[in-house]
Amino acid sequence: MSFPISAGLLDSMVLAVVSSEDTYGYEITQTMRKAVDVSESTLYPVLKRLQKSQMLETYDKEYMGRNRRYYHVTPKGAAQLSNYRSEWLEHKNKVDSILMNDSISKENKEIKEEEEVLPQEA
Amino acid sequence: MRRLEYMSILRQKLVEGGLSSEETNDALEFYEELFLDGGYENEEKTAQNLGDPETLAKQILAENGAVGFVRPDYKMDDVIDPTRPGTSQAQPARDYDIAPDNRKKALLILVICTSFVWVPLGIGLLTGAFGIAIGISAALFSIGCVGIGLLVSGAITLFQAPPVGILLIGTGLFLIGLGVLVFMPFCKFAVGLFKKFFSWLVRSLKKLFNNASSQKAVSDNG
Repeated sequence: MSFPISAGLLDSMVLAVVSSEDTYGYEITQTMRKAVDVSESTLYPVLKRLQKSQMLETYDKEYMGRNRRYYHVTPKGAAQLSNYRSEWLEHKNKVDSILMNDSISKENKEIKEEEEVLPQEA
Repeated sequence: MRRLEYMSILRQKLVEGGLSSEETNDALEFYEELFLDGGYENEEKTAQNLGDPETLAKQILAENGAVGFVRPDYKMDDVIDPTRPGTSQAQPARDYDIAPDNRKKALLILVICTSFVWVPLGIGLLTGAFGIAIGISAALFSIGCVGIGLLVSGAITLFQAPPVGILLIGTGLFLIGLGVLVFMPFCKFAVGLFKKFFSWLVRSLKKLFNNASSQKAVSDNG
């Protein structure tokens, strides 16, 4: 399998992870790695970029005698995330319509249903 | 490699690479956190996940606009799936390439930096060419004017000394014809040439600036 993950997709996924709950670097990387194979070294620049474009802001919180940097989605980030989501849905539907043979399978289903109905009437 | 060793190599490489102390500390804090949150007993594993510290340092330096910009090509090659053994072991191939947009940026900077040489030079050459064109067209125009003068004076002389008058009229007509025949196409040619040159200049400048600004916009929007 070799579908490249674009920078935009990484940005939107990280935004989504942080938007559900303020969280810290390690947890973000672990969550992301559940879905896609990205190394921590890939995610650091993503987080930096999102901070620079004011989609994310950070604050420090003490944890076990050290600081942990938490990330929080700004209103601008939230707006961008909903943009990303609708863009992704549109993109996904378009790809699915071809990749999953959606239109063809739907037609086949309809034909099958008609066939099933006919014998019953007879 | 354990955390302390990894972090000291990373710090050394970042400092050697000339990264600002703010950016260096920021990156070091982030990776330090990953080690600490990953757990003391998993330090070796965390280091393995992060890869070679020198490579990581190079990547951080590159992302901060230091020398030799490289951008890894992320691939979904390797979705981690615990039910399928071996899927997480395979390392995805990464393609490294010098980003072409940076080359364009460099070109733009070069063009701007050397502008003190080529702007006056270009203006000089341009005005020179313009002057020559004006000179030639003025000469052709004056030939036509002389022709008209000769024609008029010939018409007057015709009554006093007919042969001289005919000669003058003939020469006048010849010069008018010559002037019109050469002057008009030359003007057209020169105007067309200048027009072409200016539209080319505007287009190439636009292209250069567009490239730079669109590249900027892309990196801003991510």
